[in-house]
Parts: sequence; C-alpha cells; structure tokens
Amino acid sequence: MQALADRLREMEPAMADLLDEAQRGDAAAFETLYRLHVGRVHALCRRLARDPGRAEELTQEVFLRAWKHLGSCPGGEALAGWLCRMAIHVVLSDNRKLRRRFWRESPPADGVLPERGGFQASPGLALDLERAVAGLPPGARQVFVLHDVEGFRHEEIGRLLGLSPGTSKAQLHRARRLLKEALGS
Amino acid sequence: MKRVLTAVFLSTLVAAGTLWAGVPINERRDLNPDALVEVELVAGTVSVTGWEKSEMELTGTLGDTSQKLEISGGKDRLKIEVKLPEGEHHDIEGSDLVLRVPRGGRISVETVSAPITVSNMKARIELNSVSGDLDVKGSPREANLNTVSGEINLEDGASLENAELNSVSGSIDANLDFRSGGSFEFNSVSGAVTLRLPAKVSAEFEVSTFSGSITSDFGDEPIKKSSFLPAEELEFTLGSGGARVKVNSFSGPVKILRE
Amino acid sequence: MKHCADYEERLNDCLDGLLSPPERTGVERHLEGCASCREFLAAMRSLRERTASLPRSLEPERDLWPGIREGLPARRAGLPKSRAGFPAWARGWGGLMPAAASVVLVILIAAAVVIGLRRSAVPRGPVEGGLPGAGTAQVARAGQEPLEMAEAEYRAATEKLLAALRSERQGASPEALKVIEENLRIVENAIQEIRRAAAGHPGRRVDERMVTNLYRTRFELLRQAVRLFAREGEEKQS
Repeated sequence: MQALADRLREMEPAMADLLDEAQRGDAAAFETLYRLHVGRVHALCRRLARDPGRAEELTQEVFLRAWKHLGSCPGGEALAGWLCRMAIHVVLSDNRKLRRRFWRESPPADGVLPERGGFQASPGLALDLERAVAGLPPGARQVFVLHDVEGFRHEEIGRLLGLSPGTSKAQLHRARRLLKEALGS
Repeated sequence: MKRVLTAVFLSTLVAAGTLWAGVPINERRDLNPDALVEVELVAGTVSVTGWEKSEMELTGTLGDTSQKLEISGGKDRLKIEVKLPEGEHHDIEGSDLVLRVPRGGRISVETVSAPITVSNMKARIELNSVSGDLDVKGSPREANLNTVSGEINLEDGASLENAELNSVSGSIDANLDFRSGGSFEFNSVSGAVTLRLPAKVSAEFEVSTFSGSITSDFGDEPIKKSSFLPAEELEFTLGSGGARVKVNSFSGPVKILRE
Repeated sequence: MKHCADYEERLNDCLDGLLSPPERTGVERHLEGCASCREFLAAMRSLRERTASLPRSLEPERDLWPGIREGLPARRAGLPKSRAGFPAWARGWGGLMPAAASVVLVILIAAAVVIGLRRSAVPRGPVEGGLPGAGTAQVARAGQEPLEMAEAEYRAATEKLLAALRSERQGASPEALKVIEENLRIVENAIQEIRRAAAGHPGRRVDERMVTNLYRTRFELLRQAVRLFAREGEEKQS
C-alpha cells in the first residue's frame, strides 16, 4: 500500500503539463482542469452572485472565458488564483448588469434573513453557516465572502465593488452581526 | 397471543440476519422509453436486460441486512445504488441486481468487483468496473466499456456506430462488422485485444502495439509502416473504408480475425 | 444582552488585528467591565472559526462540462507566445527535440478512457484543513498568495488516502486497491520500457498515441483509487 502512496506523490509534476496541453487547444486537457477547479469556481459564483440561481450559468461563463484567455494564464501555483480572480470578475460584472435591470434591491431567494430586526427562525435552531451566508443581503454577503472567506482587504474589495474601504468595513461588520444573530448564540 | 409471539420471534430472526441469507429486492418504477438508468454497486453481480415496457423492474437480493438499496430520480433519469455500511469492508456479501429497463434507454453501470451483463439494450451502454467482467449482447448503438482487470466481451457489435473499449490488464474480445460506419477505439495495456470481423467489412484500421504482437487474417492489404523497435504498427483499409478503427495495446497481443 | 453599539467597530477591528497597541488596551479595559461585549467578541471569534472551515469548493449539482464543451470550438484557445517560434513537429504534442536526451512526454487526459469519468477528479465535500496524521492542506484563497489549488486539493486527496491506508480501517475494497496497484505496476513498467527505448534511439519519433495512452491510463488508475476512498468518505458523511 505504501507503493500506491508513493505513486500518488509522483503524480504531482503531471499537473503542469495539463495547462500546456490545454493552451495548445486540447479540450480534453481543459476538461481535466475544469474538473479539478469547478468546485472552487462554483463556490465563488454561488456565494458572490446577486442571484445565486445563476451560479451554474456563471460557472460555465468563467470557464469559457478562461479558455479564451488561457494563453495568459500563469502556470503552476498561480493557476488556481487566476481562475478565482476571473470568477470574481465575471460574477461581479453580472451582478452590476442585474442591478441595473432591477433598480430595487430584491430580497434573496431564500429570504432567510430579513434586512433588519430579529431573525425569524424558531429560537434555539442553529442554522448552517452556508445557508446563513446565502441569506445575507447581497451587499453584505459579497463583502463578507470576499473578506472573511477569500481573504481580500478592504481596499481591494472597495475597488472590486465600487465602494470606499470604509463602506466595505461597515458592510463586513453588518454581515458578521447578522450572521451571529442567525446562528444563535 | 401466539401471533404476537411469532411476530416477535420472526423479527428477532430478521434482526439477527439469520432468516434470510440475503434480503430480496422487488422494485418497480415508471420510466420514459429513453430514460437514463444509472447503477452503482461494489460487489455482487449486475444483470441488465432491455424490454419493451416503459418501466424499470429491479429484483434480486441484497447481500445482507446492513446494505441499503437507494433508488432516486424520476421518469427521465433513475439512479440505483447499493450503499455499504460504515467501516471495514472485507469480504463483502455481494448483492445481486437483476434489472429490466426500457431497451431504447441508456444504461450506465459502475462496479468495483461485480461483473456486469447487459443484453437487448439498443441505445447507449456505459460500463465501468475495476475487476468485474463486462459482457454485452444485443446490438447496442453506442458502447463505452471500461475495466482495469476484468474481461470485456462484446458479442453483437453489429449495430454499433460508436464504441470505446478500454482495459489495463483485462482482455477485450469483440464481434463487430462496422456496417454503420462510425468510430471505434480499443485500448489495452497488457490485455489481449481480439476483434472478430466478417469476411466483407469496410473500415480503416490503425493498429499499434509496443511489445505485443499483431496478427491479422486480412492479409491482402495491410501495409506495415516503418517500425520503431520494438513497436509495431499496422494501418490498412478494408473495403471502401467508412468506419475508423483504432486499436492500441502496449504489450498485449492484438488479433484481428475473420469469422 | 446587546453589545455596546459604539464598540462594535472597534471589536471587529480588534478581531481583524487592525488596532494599534493603545487602542487595543482601551478595548481590553472596556471588556473587563462589559460582559455583553465580551460575549460579542467571543461570538465573533467562533464565527471566524466556522468561516474558516467553510468548504472552499462546492460541486455544482449537474455536470456543466457539456455546456462548456459546446462553447469551446467557437473560441480558440490562446496559444502561449513562447511556443510560436517552434517548428510544427515540436509544437505538436509529443514531438521530440533532437537535442534533448529525454523524451518530451505529454499527458493527454481524455474524457473517459480506462475508468469512466462521471465525478470530479478529487473527492467531493469540504477539503478540510486538518486530517488525522496529515499536515494542514493549504487551500488557495483568491485574495492571498495563491497556491496551486489543484495541487493542494490533490495533496489533500493524497493525504486522505494515506490516512486511510495508515489507519486500521481499510478502504471500502482493499481487494480493489490491490488490483489497481498491480495494474499501476503494469502501466509504470510499460512507461519505463518506452522511456528506455526512446533513450536508446534519440531523434526517433515515439508513438505519441502509445505514450499518451499510458500516461492517461496511469492518471485514471490513481484517480480511481482516490475515488474509491472518496466514495467511502462520502458515505460516511451521509
């Protein structure tokens, strides 16, 4: 069984060749890259999208864009980060388009957390964090995901979302407070 | 009173798993005629037969009471899984699944050691196993058969338009005639690949092996390309071409036989 | 008990390490006398811990690849500029560079070769930071120094496999793993043979198809091994 483990370790250099192949137009190699990274990209899309129902469509758009720009993709360790940034770009652009279309901010599909006031779940019911995040209002949710989940700083978040760093911070604190209330004590 | 005691006695036996060696299965679901049915099983056997009904019938036995049969999905797509309990899985009591599904539908089966037999399915068959043998009869249109060490047997490949058969050390044996054109691929590392063809066949062949041998009954037209020692390549066209056939075996013998 | 509204920002900043030492001292002094703020800070800490263990990866419910595949031919992949100057035979996959003593072997991963690909390459579910007996798997965060996410997840998958192998609870099918290991040996021997042959004949073209098939096969075998353990892990979670 140790031999199997050793062989698994040997596999790692092979990953680098995948990008090479994909850059030369090999769809099969790109598919493997897709399968390796789709979970990550999809998580970002779902958590950042104004309308989480669009997560799958957005994920596809990210990979199609990645294919088109694959020539400029850094290899090795930076590949994942490159894809993630592309995902963020795609989702936030889409959010802006949606916002222009629907001038009134509509509540999230789940409607789990109301904007203000108390949380409506039955007392003592601990909510799953993922669902609680999904229930945050879009502005607070985006900042929370970018800052607390993805590790961006407020300056960068402000640039991405078109906010001042101060507003970004305020949204973050609001998100945390709402989550605390949603999750019980 | 006696009835209650019998019931208690019986249920104790059932709980102890001693009443039945295996738990019988009897399930039915409505299905669309072109539905996709997916099956997942670790050990035991899987037998699939296509029929004219728009319905799935599943019979057979679960290996023991700790295994769980899960069926999910709808008329369009059904998933059948035998789930094993947590913990060590040495010497699993295999479950035997006997399945009848609409013959125009698609079937996809994945097992570890369980052999899979499929007959009378006309559309698309996809089978995957680690060590289970794969047996296909009954003229499907498309087949994708993959195994690590099991044996692949394709008996009626006459209606195939598209097929890919892969093994690592298992053998591949297929009856084909390439009537409908299409593209075919057979890959093996150390397993033998045997293709059985009728006398009159139209296809383009690309056959290669690294250290295995190539034997072909169709001796009139093959052109041996320059070989890269010890690799051997054989490319030839029979009839008016049409189907594209690729055979690749690293060290296993390749036989193209006239039946 | 409601925390002090005007301290909320400072408590958050404290948690994020944004306070200067004198500011921090001020907060600590406040906390000494304010139970509700202490509770708030503790809750924030606990939230941060939970957030840290949110899965980095969420598999979509359906396979999105077919939709992507359709859109690929319409958009040609960007060729890396550095390759443009190479002659055609070297640019194509597997072409041998005459100067190189070793063969340039390219890995081509086909959609479904030896083992059907219906799940993703790495186990689904959260890639947890700490595994028994394993180092912490670093997972890429978009805003920080990125690590190769595939490599990290792959390493996590490897660690998971190793942990299972080390522990007394063997995998779902130790027999199956043995089959895979034996076959891996077969494939690796094959790869070695080709390498030796190629080394003995520099400048000759290796049959790319043969070579890529072997690499493809090896990759799929390893992935199958991981999936066998992943499935086991999945079932344990459900």
